[in-house]
Amino acid sequence: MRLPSRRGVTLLEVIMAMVILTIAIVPMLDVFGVTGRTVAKSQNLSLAVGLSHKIAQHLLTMPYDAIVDKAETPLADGADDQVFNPLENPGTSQTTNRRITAAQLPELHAFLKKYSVRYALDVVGDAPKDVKIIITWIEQGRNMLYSLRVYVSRR
Amino acid sequence: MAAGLLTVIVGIVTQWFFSQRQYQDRITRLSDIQENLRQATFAMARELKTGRQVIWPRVNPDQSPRTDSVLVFKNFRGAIVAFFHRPAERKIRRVVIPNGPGMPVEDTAPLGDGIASLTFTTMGPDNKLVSLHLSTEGVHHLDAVRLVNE
Repeated sequence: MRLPSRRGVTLLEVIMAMVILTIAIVPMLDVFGVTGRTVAKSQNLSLAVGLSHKIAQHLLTMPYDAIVDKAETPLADGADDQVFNPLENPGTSQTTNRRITAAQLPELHAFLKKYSVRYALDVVGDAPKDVKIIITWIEQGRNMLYSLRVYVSRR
Repeated sequence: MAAGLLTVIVGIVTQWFFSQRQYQDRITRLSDIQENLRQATFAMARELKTGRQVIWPRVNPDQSPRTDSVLVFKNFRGAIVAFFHRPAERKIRRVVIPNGPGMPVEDTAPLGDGIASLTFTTMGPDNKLVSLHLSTEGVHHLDAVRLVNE
């Protein structure tokens, strides 16, 4: 009686399977990477929209003559500007003001520092003032920018 | 040898698959967090911007800002409304405080869900600018609302 032949998997077949698998997996890896980058991008863009809206609301309370050009200013460890620094104050006097520093608002500081978030104002004209609010940040080594244009009338 | 190689490949692929699944879950959660922060900000700003007056917190006597997790204001209808954060539930709630005797009435639906921290800071000379700071799992959202009504 003759037994049926039982062929195993040859080394060549395994190597070929590996090659095919690699070719299939590499594009899939990229898909996951793209999704991650898209989410990070939308996170930072969402933050930038909020920041520019915050600045626009502050412009409505600032003295008209104080609305002038402003060079790029970092939010983390930035100078006092009445918009982002100080940002909070749980106490009853300016001695308890909290600025965006590693010591006073560590989580927010780390978040803004990680992406090097900055803002600038570009003011053109008078009555009304044409104010361009510019938010910039660095994302995976690339300079990113979001801008919002608002018109402020003399009150 | 071929069977051994095959086992190694299957092991690598399985590990890669599960790590990618975890990564994908993290990305989805991050996306949900962003959406929660945006929705909560929008829900609060919608009523607040047409408000008349912030009752609490108030700018300090030396004009420095004042922060609290509760915001009480008079809305455009003249009703006294409070927004507050419940950290244990990670929710933002809205309550209407009667202008006379009676119990405060809390909305059934929260203004925001999945929010780990929230602060309201009043700024500006007329106590009408409210800065909002929301955060969840290391994601932050900053915004501000100026009350437009008198």
